[in-house]
Amino acid sequence: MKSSTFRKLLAIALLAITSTVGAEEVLRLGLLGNKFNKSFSAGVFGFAQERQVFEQAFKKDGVKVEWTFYSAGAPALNEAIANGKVDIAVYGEVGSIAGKAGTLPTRIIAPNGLGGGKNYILVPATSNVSVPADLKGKRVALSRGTAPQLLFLRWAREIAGISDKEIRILNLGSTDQEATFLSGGADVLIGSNLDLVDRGLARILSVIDADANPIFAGFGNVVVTQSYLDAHPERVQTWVDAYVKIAAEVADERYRNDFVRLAGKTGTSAKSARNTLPKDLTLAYAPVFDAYYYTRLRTAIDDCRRFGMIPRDIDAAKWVEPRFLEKSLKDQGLAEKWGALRSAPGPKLAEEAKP
Amino acid sequence: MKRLLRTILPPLSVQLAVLLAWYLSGKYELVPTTLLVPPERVWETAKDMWSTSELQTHVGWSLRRVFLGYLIGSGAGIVLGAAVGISRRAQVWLGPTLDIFKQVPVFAWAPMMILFFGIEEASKLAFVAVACFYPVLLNTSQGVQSVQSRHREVGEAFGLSRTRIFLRIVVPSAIPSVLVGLRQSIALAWMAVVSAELLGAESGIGYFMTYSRLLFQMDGVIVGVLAVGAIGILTNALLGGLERWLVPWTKEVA
Repeated sequence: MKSSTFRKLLAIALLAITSTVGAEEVLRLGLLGNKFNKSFSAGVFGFAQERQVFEQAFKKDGVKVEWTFYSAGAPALNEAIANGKVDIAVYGEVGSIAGKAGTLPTRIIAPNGLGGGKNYILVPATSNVSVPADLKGKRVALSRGTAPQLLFLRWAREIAGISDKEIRILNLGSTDQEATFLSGGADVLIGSNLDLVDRGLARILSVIDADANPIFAGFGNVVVTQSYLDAHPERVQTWVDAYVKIAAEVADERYRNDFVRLAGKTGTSAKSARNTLPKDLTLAYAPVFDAYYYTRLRTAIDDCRRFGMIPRDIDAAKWVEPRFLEKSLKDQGLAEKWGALRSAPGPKLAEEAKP
Repeated sequence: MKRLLRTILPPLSVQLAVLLAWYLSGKYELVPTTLLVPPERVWETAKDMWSTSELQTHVGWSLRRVFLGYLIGSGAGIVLGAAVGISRRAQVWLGPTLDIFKQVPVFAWAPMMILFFGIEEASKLAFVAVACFYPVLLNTSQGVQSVQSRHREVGEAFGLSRTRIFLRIVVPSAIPSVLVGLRQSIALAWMAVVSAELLGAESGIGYFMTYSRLLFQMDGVIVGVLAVGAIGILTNALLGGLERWLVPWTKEVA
């Protein structure tokens, strides 16, 4: 009896040991899902996913790359990071800033694109609003805690001369925004879609052109958890090397149609994708931490704080960990490739840079 | 005193144990403190919110919505429940329709609420009212129907009018059941107000919790949870007091 129990215990122990030995190492990538819940990414990560860039880079080390798309958006991604389910996360400025302000131990290891294209401030076709300043006290339908909130409040401040306290934000999910606007429950709508204008139900009050005015350009961040960075700095380097390589190749006008095609895989219409793609792809997807990037990051943190979206300040310089990217650019002979380009737009912003 | 201690001590000790577990799990990082923010930080956030009146504002708005929605929904539930319970004709005419709508989850009403009542306060009150309506309706009709026929017969034997039978016999007999419905509804009202405040709200504890979660301010979420819990305890105590005052005999029987 005793011997049988011993044998069983031994078998369990052996099974546990062998399963540990055989366990595959995994690098867990967390990305934002899309409204159609498709497991595809747009932008540079769309190319990386399609060509299995990271999988190839880690093949020799026996590390499996796992892609998880969080369709519940940045809050879900932040919660997954906090739960230790994600090693490297790719998301927008507001989500990543909110996570960091919520004391998530993350470090930015690469930028991920600079938004461009056009967004529109729409009012009902019959509205008596004729100039942006008329929106004082009006109701805008948008999702709070998202990039559109930051964009709209920046527009209100810069163009309409209205503070965030002088406008009423109706916090609505994307599907309810249009319904509320059409039923007269909201006076303003923001977006890149002009369907309502085409149908004669809305008119454009203002065009927000991120290409013409960089303050309206959103951007993305790639962050790694501090624990993963401490445990596997060499893997972070391998990952950044692969990322820089693919970004350097596809951040080029020749790939514009492919950017549109990949956006289509996430459920975005070609028309909408063309409308929101930056005018200068080389500039937008440059994988560099330059004065331009730091200024965008600092401005976004300041604005999130000013608009009450984060409870505390973030030290941008300490948040960014540039050594991996710098090494990659140097090793791949790309250190000088984007320097001249990125000093061109937004001279006012570049002057205020805080590297 | 001894009785009071016997009543308060057991739940209080459980609550203190939960608080201690929460504190220790944060102190020794047994769970991610970014998600389960330690109590001392939550306390700081609550204090900050109190000093700027942010907490009072949000709680005030939610209380207002809960109170008015509850009043409308449970009021309608009592009236219709009594009608269906007492009148065979009302049951025939209204029963099937009420049964059909009973199957619809309250959250499914959201688009209709916006359509009929707009995005402002009316739709939020309607949302809470719908959530409160059915538990009160069902319990009231059940309470009225379960009045023992011999009690009615005694009333009739004493020559009481139908109105007096209703007021002196049916109502007192149905009150315990109505109160059960009212208690169920108040819990649902709080659940509903959190959902209602997703419908384009600019204030309220549900709005605040959702917004805090969106911006990964988990201390704010916990402050909201605790505020709802504290108000829930107060409301329950209030309803318990009301029950003891209205139907003291149920306690005696128990």
